[in-house]
Amino acid sequence: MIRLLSGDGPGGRLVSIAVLAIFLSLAFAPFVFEGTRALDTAARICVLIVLAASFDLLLGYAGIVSFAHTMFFGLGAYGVALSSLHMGRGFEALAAGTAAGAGAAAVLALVIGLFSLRVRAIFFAMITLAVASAVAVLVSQLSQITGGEDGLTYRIPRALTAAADHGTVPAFAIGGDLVLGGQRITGKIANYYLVFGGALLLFLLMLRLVNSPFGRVLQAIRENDYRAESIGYSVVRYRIAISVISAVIAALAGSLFAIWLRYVGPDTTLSFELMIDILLMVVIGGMGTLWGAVIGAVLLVLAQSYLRDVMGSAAERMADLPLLPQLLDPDRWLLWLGLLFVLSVYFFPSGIVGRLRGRR
Amino acid sequence: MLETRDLSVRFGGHLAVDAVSCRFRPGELTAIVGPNGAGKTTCFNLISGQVAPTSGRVLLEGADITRLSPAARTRRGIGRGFQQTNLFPGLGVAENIRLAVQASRRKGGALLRLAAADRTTARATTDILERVQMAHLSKRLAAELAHGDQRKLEVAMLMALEPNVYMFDEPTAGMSAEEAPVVLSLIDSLRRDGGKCVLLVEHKLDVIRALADRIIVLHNGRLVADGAPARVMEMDIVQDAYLGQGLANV
Ligand SMILES: Nc1ncnc2c1ncn2[C@@H]1O[C@H](COP(=O)(O)OP(=O)(O)OP(=O)(O)O)[C@@H](O)[C@H]1O
Ligand SMILES: [Mg+2]
Repeated sequence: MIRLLSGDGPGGRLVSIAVLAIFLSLAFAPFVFEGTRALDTAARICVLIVLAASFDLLLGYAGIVSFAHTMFFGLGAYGVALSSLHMGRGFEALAAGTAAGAGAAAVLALVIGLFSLRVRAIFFAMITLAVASAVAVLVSQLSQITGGEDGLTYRIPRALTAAADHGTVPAFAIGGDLVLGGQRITGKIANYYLVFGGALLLFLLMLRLVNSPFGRVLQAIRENDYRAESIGYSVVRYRIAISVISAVIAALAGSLFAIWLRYVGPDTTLSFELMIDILLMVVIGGMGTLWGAVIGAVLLVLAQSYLRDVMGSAAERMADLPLLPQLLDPDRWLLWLGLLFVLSVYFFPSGIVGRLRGRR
Repeated sequence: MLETRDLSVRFGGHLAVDAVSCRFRPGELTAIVGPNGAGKTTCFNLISGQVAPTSGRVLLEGADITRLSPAARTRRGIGRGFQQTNLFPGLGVAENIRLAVQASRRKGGALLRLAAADRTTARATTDILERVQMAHLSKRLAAELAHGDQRKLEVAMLMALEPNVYMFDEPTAGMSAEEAPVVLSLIDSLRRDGGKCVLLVEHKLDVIRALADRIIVLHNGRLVADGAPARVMEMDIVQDAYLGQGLANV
């Protein structure tokens, strides 16, 4: 277990409990929570954990600011979409699209890195912003290929859709009352486990990466790049390497997302809002620890999915009071999210995980 | 052997290092002295690659390394210590040293191994911690150390690189009277037992007398004297340029 986590446990009792709860909820999501919306939220969380964690590799571990992370995410997603459209429905299309997306992300990240990271790390931020904006415009303009603003819908293998039946979970009954199991395993659930398994694998891989000699060098570069260079680490090479790795992982997360959604569009994969979201996830959860990305992703996705509902019902209950119902109007959820963000950054400058871990 | 040829650098209108030509041999400890602002640290920066020269060359074992990056020079065996504290502040003391050990063994590229599982690097790290008498501080963050301990960690990181050329820039400045001798005897043993080439920027005359095989005097970026300690200390130009600045009262 410790080996699987690369000796880098969540640290701290509360964080460990939270992470374990998240893991169990995600692992058994199809059988614990009811309804397609819950399952969709769970899948979204899986994907965004990977996306946020891969962004933290750059921001929290290597100290590099990038605005192109969603672009790489989009490359993976569009890879799957385009291959599924052109090669026809099938697992080969998914594999080819995933590989193509990851390959394109690697090449693009390498080119951006070679151009900008050699100069200064801050230059990288500007270049990524420019390239990401250009790609977003390109995707909406080239509508014959990309579907433009409408995006693309495509078909994935039947085995991964709700129509498929993969049998039922063995049921445990006591005295004729169903206690556990008994659910039908649809292709949708199989699809969920593909996403969950893929995300878990990528996360464990990243955990290993940050605890490897390479990962330690990244932290050294973040702490003091001048000294890292002077003890013999070619800082530029390390920065380029991590930006490529992080881009590839983002693309793979994008492919998982595309397989789950059966739709890609600029809003869901390339948008600047999504970029801000992952930034928030990493900062709220805690930079420089992958567990922070887990906590941050879960909190933000839950807030986005359910904050409006909670606010709606709260507003109804307080309908008689002055002012409060207006403040709690579901349309104001963004305001509250912003407030939560400001408060959390103010009270937990090292993120939730950093705060709960205390000083080790 | 390390060599500089007509090494110069100009910052705006100011010639900080002016045509310095010099050779440094293995097994020799060269003290580099001169008043504040003489260009000693800048000379180091030119040799270890942090600053590019306006003209002139740096050679190591006959090969021109003037255009190499600092990292590449370190990998070729030039180890550089810093006058200003220059550590990885948010990392532990042991980790600071471990990173240097890992660098000298070229292990930084391993992506999927665990750093913590590397026994030989860990052993070398502990060894150095003990040699600089900092084992009890191994888990502390570098930023939390007292100034004297930070200076010691600075020296320890240089030791961890196991270079052929050691460049110390006022290593004992800010250390207590008990701490300094530990570091100085380590430096002494590098040259005596290890046959290493040692460059030492130092203000304290007693230290220079005790350790130096040779003294180089810089003044206004120029190399104004170079020779055996006894001879250099006698020279008029040194009396005027260096001792005359009130630095002899240490
Ligand atoms: N990067 C730089 N840009 C501009 N001027 C510089 C730079 N580095 C050094 N100098 C100038 O070069 C001169 C030599 O500085 P240097 O630090 O080499 O002196 P030093 O001999 O090490 O002095 P000290 O004994 O105080 O450490 C000084 O006048 C300094 O202001
Ligand atoms: Mg100096």
